[in-house]
Amino acid sequence: MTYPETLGPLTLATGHDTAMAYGELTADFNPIHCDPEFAASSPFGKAICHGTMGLNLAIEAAERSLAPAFALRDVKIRFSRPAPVGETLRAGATLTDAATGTYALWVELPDGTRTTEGTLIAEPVA
Amino acid sequence: MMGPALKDTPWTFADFPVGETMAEVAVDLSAEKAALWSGISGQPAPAAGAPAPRALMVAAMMEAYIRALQPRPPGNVHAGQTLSFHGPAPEVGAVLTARFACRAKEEKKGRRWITLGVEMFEGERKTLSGEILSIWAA
Repeated sequence: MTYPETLGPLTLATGHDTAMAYGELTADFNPIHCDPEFAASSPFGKAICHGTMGLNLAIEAAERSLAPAFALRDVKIRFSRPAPVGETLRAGATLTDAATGTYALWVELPDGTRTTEGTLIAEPVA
Repeated sequence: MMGPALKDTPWTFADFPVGETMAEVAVDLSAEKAALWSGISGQPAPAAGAPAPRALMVAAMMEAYIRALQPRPPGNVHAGQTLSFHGPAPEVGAVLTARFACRAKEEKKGRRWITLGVEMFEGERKTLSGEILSIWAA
């Protein structure tokens, strides 16, 4: 068995509705995500997506691409740049070390700006 | 269960007790939440009793994190995250216990960095662990 070269990607067209839905899912209605008027006066100047919404899109992409032979084990990321609400997120992972099942995990905007970056380690399913 | 860490005023950087467990809350992986995540991600929702998507576990961790420490100052930034998944995924419908501990805090270049450890259990079995790295607002 060999690890897939690429996990996903999945895309998500974000908007106020997805921000509110993710807020409901996580009980996180921070106005920086869910209140465009408040967010306009923040340092970001506009509402930004929940960081874990993009991360979870990458995790969903990875889990679906890895199954059934492999599974996620570890994830380590940083939220490197804000993703404005209204942008389309593209999330996935790229194999960097086939011996250890290590991937570069990423979430990016349509212009290629990466908003989440890190590593994901997969393992064979026992 | 220890319960959430509740105060009368927002949690500040000075309040975080490094090395101590701060809160425990129960959180469910309900079919309604699975459907909600499915609606956001555009991916099929698992049936009740099927293994929960790992993304649903992470969303539940965030729900637990929000509920575990209240109130909190506006403007906190989630800066980084580590996650380790342990064993098979819990089923949709499972109830997990999330435990939070303050692992570290550091002021650096005018920013207040807090590292919270999180562990999630289904009964006695650990299902997820990790660290939430935040820049605390106050």
